[in-house]
Amino acid sequence: MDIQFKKGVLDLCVLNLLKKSDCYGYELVNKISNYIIISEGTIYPLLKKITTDGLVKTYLKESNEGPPRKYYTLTERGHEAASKMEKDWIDFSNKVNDLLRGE
Amino acid sequence: MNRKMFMDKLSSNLNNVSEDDKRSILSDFQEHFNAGLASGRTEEDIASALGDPEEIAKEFSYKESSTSKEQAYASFDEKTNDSFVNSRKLYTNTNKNLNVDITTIETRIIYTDNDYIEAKILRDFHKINFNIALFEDEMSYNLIVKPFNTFDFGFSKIFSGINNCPILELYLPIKVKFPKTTIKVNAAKLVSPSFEGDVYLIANACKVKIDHLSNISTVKANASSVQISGIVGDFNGEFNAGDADIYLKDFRNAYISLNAGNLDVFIPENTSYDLKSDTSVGAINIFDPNFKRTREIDNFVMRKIEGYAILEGQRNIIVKSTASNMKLSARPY
Repeated sequence: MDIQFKKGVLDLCVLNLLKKSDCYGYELVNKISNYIIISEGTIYPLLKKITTDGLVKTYLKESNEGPPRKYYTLTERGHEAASKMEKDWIDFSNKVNDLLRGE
Repeated sequence: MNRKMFMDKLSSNLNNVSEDDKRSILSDFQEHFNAGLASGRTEEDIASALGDPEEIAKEFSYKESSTSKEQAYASFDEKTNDSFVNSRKLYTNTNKNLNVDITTIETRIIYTDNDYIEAKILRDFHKINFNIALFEDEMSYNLIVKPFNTFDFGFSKIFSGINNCPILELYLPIKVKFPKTTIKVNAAKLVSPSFEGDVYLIANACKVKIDHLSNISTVKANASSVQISGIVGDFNGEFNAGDADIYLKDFRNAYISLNAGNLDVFIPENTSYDLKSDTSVGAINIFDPNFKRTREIDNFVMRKIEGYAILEGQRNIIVKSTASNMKLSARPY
């Protein structure tokens, strides 16, 4: 699938995964890779960007294996952005599907 | 590619990010490798799934340079739909007051009525870039910035050094051109490029830096360091500060009083002026290239001078020092 096309929806995927539960980086990458084939490294610049934009915050939490992990959690603004993007995506994909079906 | 090769290549390509960001980015990838290894994958497998480190580095650099201005707004705008960009629309070409009350990182902008905008930040913060670049020339305003706990940001921490202070960087417009400006600020750091018009500024800050002042200016600052340059017109400075560097540009009268630390005053060439300086601790250094016309100043050592140097024209200097050493220097700066 086209790389730019994927990048566009990656924000949407990350924010909506975080809406369900806080995650550390590797966990997020894994959850997304289960559905879409991505260059896993591209998640990290994206996480940095949405952190800077104030959509997510980070905190450290102990892990059973080795040093503490950096967890990402949605801010209130992040929650709003996630919901809005999800809605936009559903509207948009419905219309594209309609178009493809020629309705 | 193994872990070390990947990390080295990523590190050497992260050119346009700050050292702090670089450290944090590299540690994120180390964490990624650790987690991958713990789940039974090989270094090579993890590295190849991550993709080309050079490309990844590029994405960090790109975002870093393209969003800096938005970041300033974003950090101010957290938890509110009233963005600062909106306030620009509201306040352009009006004659209103602006009150900004910063107490924490989460912000609310409250429009109490059309004459008045108030911004509150409700939680503790580490760093805020507060950027006001929105106002027209004609507007007069009051800017009041209060940290959530004045005690924490005020006197108690001023002399413990900038590193111990949460950083509030207050960036004022490139040119503030108001007929009269009164500013009170309690901030870790006050940075302002320029003021035009009569300015009365009271600052409790770790660091005060102002690049341009004109007309009649009074600056009172409790700060660990003060640097004011490009002073035009009359200047009155009263500082409780570690050190003060004052660069006078085209001035007539200046009165500078300092309660602590060293005071360095830089005077331009061919200037006629009255200058009074006062310090109770530390040294006064006056760098005045005009003095090169006289040799009498060489080897001059004295604890207290009053009305000593009256040179040609209207030059009039009064310098008082009750502690430490004092230098009047003839060398150009």
